[in-house]
Amino acid sequence: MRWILFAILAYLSLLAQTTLGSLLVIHSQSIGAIMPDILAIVAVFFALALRNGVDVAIVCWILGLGLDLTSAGGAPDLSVVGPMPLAYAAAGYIVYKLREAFFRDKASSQMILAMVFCLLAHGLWILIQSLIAIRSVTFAMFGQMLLQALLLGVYSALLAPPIHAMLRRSERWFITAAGGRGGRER
Amino acid sequence: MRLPDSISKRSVVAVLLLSSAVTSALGARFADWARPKLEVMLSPFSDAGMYVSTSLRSRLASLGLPASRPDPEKEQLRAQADQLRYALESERLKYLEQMQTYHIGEQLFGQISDGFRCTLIPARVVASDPLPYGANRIASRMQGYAAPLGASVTTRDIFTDRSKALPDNLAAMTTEALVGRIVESGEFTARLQLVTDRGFKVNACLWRNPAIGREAQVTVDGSQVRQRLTDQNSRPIPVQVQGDGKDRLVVRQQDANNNYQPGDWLVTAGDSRFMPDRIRIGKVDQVLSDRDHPLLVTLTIKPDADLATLRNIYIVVPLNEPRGGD
Repeated sequence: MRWILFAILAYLSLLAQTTLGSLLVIHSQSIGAIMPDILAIVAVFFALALRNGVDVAIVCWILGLGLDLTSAGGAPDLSVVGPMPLAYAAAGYIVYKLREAFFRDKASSQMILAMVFCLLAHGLWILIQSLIAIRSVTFAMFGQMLLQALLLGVYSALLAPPIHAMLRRSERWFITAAGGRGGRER
Repeated sequence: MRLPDSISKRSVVAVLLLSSAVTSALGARFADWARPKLEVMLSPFSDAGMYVSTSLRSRLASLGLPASRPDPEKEQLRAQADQLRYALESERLKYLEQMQTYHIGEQLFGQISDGFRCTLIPARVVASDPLPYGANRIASRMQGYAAPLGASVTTRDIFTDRSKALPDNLAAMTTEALVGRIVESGEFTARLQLVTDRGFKVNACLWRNPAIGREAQVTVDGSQVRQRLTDQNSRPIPVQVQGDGKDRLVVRQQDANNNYQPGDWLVTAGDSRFMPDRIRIGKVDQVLSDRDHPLLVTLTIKPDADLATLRNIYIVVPLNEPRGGD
């Protein structure tokens, strides 16, 4: 794993999410904002491409930290930093374990795993943030955020195949060829 | 990049996960310190991306089916007429308040001018919230000045008419609308909580537009009577408004006898240290009955500012506020 190049990719992905991502937002008066999670799509790509589950956890943790450091909304109080790296790492490791049942290059696999990742990561994030701000979060708010997370998962799933296709072309920049299946884990 | 043999990747993961738990437990103390650090690294490059995003969004919003697209000149004239009426009503109300010693404090009512008791610090929105659960923006501000927490943020839109000749004093007009407030402030950036965020609350006044003909409950000589709403008997009604977490604001549990209608104005109350004047927030969009309380209604307010394409903003700082204060 080439960590410095990955850090650049993570930065660019975060930049895209916080700027161009606003172009992809769909506003619904009944549900709220619906937007994709580009970093989740990147995380799923690495979960499929890396051969080491520990590397997957680290990659997802870094992406989740970037997301938490740039986002503050959620509960009526500002959200805290920490739950998203945890949620991303957990979701990434689960996707890494599930990938044996899927064909990596098939668009349907990428979409399903992207949706699973988003539901797990965002669901866990919403749960943790709501528990932290339990005095100010109502059931209605909690339900609305979960619905937004579901739609975020669907939206991200739709965007996963083209983004994966782009990342696949540059895969060797980030992932070294060394190490095989069941390679030594340190 | 290889780790030393004495450090396994599994121990690295364990440390990272533990640090996440610790930072979660630290809560706002860590978040307030950490977020501005990354925002500083993002803002130099995110400005360009935000320009592309808001420009495209504005362009897409102006596209539409030719048959259903409203005449832009008519829309502009309508907006200018609305602004004129607002300015006229605000001056009239100020006069009435002075005449009737209806004292709310030393307040201007209407446009922000050079005599305004605040300073307008220009800033620019350089990034948006990457998650859909909140309505926040990251703003870059003038170097050397830290926006105080809680400071109000407004727009300042310039209307110009390029197609038809209008009298000079109507050719250009300024208006302003409240878009949010500062909730985090760092050395070079500040986080703006938009008015539609579910955590946003502000004291405001509902101002029933006399142009919308109706009968409503008004106060005459200290007693509540039902009359046709006119320029003379229309008064602002204090309310508290909060964001609904979507794209509107909500005012709950209002007396149905006040007969609010879509098009009524919502302005700030002018009783806050950070907003001592009345600034427009939006207009009533819907009036919804309360199922549990037939005599009460809930109002949804559409913000005047276009929050989706927000770029140039002004941080309103009272003149006596210490620079760099939190």
